[in-house]
Amino acid sequence: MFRWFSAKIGDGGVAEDTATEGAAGAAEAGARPQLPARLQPGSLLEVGEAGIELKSDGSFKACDRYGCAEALVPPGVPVDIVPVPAIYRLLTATSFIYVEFDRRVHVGGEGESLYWTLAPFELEVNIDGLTLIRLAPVKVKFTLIGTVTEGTLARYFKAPVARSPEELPEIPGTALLGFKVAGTSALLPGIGFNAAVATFFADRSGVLYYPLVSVKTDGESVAARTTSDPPKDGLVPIFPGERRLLPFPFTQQAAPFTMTIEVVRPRHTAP
Amino acid sequence: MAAEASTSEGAGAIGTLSGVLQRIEGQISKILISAAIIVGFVFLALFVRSLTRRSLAPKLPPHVYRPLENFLFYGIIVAGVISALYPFGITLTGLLVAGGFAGVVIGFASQQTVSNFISGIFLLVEQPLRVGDPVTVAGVSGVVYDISILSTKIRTWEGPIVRIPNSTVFNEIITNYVRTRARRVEYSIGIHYDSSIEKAVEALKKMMEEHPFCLANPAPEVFVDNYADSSIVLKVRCWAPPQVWFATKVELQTKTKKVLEEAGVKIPYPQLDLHIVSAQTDLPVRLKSEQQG
Repeated sequence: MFRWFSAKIGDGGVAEDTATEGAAGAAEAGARPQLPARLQPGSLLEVGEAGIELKSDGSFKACDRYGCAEALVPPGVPVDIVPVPAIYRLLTATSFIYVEFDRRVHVGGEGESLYWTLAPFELEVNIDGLTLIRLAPVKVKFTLIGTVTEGTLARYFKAPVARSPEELPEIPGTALLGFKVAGTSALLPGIGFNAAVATFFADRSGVLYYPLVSVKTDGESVAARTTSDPPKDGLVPIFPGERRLLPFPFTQQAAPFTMTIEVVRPRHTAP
Repeated sequence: MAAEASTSEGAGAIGTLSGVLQRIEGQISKILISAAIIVGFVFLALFVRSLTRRSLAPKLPPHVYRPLENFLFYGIIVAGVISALYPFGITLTGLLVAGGFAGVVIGFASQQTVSNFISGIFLLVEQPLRVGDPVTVAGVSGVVYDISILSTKIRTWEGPIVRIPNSTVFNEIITNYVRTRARRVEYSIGIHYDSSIEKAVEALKKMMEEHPFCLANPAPEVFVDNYADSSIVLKVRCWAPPQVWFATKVELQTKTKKVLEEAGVKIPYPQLDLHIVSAQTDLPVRLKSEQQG
């Protein structure tokens, strides 16, 4: 059994789950926090490099490696911590996340195959529905897929890839990403997907999942489309509730991720 | 007879006066109708612009909805002017025919304005620059503040707003700094000849790999650019999103000194070695501090 969040819960704990029916329930001290969560006065939440603290006197502080935000929260005002796709912190310039694998993976061939990797998420701090800050539990990095003039800017993360989620290591601040590949065989160096349209799923133990990404290879390129389906059975969708979304470059909003230069086909195939 | 003639002259004069008054009345009513049409179209244009702004501004970026808004606004105004000429018997066909001659006259008189207008339309269609883009046009650098039908306004880095006629914008070389996915941050740093090049390169590469805006791909580069008089000059390069190019450059340059110091790499002052090839006698050397001097 592995934990996905290096969570420390203070006196108040994370007492209330605001949206996830299936994953709801009062968290016990020491247990994995369920996200999204409503923070109670006197509680501390740490996920990866992000820390959020609401003191009993109403002092609120949320920090990650890039900075902090502070607020005074009167009693009774709800403070919600919501997981959001990792495309906001530091720079809102892309809708895409690109996960580079630690090794190339052979995909395609006959039928469809399901693979798993990890993709980062961010923690959105909402005070009475107003977004105070979005925190990055993991290091923020960007990359360019394609050429400098026509390529796609994407949030970058390097992670292992596996055939089942149980084979993947624990990395706090990341959610499981399942992608189903169909098409001709290719050696895939990574997977990019449109995260702006992604809705999270969670299992009963609070593990977060990105929605299933459908990938098609044609030998020359790979196209990835973010679906609205859960990557496996038994997951419940996380509804972020009332949030005010940041505007995105409208041309990228619903676009699928395409990549043409990163696919390497095997040069020699068995006779 | 004289009285009859006088009466008929009076009646004629009254008739003429009445005709003139009727014509004036007719002209005044036409002018009023035209004015009403123009006012009506102006209100319509303002209404449409307001409606467009309210409905499109939250959904579309400024560079998309503003040209559309301008196009609709000026299109309605032009339609209003043409409609206002109708009570005077001037139709679009008549305008086009009269335009053959009037166009020559007006063309000479308003050559520059028309040139700006046409250039403005081309700029709106081609969109080599958009509102909010950092650009350099005709030697003016700054952020595009507004693109109207006759001129483009640029807020320079120092703050003032510079108005450039659209014909100038259209004919000049335009450098747009954000119409690319990434922009290269590049600077040079000199290290001491006694310091390790490998250590310096490794430290600078690590610094860029840690920086959130230095893209993972294309990968950061550090290489020896020159063996200069006083230092080995390293070239430091990484690609960054254009929106944060300046901030990235400033941060990297600021951090470079600390990173090199931590790696045990020295940044030298300019220095000059003097070699005296042949001296007949010993040269007396006297060191003098600045305070004494």
